[in-house]
Amino acid sequence: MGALSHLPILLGALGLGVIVVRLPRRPLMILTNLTMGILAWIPLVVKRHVGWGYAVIIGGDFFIQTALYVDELSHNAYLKYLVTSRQLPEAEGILQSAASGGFMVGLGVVLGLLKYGTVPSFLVWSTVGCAMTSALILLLPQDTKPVSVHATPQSLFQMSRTGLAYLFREGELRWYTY
Amino acid sequence: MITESKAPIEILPRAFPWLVSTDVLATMATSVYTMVILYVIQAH
Repeated sequence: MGALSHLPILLGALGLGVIVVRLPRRPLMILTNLTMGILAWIPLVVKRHVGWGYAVIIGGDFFIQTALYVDELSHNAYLKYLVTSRQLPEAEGILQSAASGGFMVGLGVVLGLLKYGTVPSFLVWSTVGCAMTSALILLLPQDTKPVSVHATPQSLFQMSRTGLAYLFREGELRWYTY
Repeated sequence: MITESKAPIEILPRAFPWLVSTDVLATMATSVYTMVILYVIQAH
């Protein structure tokens, strides 16, 4: 299950970023958060109403992890619009550290409250959190128009190759990529 | 005496903490989901 959760990142690492920077990021962040809020209910609905639920639970998790990955990419792409290139390393560091902190806090809260709440009540909190995130994103400034919406699979592949070549040319970035 | 010139400190835009807040909230919501799915699988 843990390994499968990383599959979207492995599959999408090369191409999704190229696609995300060609889409309006703010609506994308809103859409992915709402998608996560809805998909989070799949395990419970499946467990209650479908007997053969295990495969669907894993399938649902694959889609939610993909949505989360696209959400992270949109945040990073939006960050490039928000701060200058000199501020980007600092801003990226703060953003990633804060997000990791948020994940740990969420885990801790659920672990601490598990015996006091029911699964549906936690899912309500998760969905409310995603909905609130979407609402808060609406208050962020509109980002600039994406570079181009016209791209062929061949050009996306070529851009992914160019991006990878850049990462491997720069020593520090190469280790960051690993 | 030669004094070292310091680069001006660039202040991150006001919207940046807002972006961080949305990211933290999203990851918190997702971690709640992750815990719940593990719990559901364990009980399955």
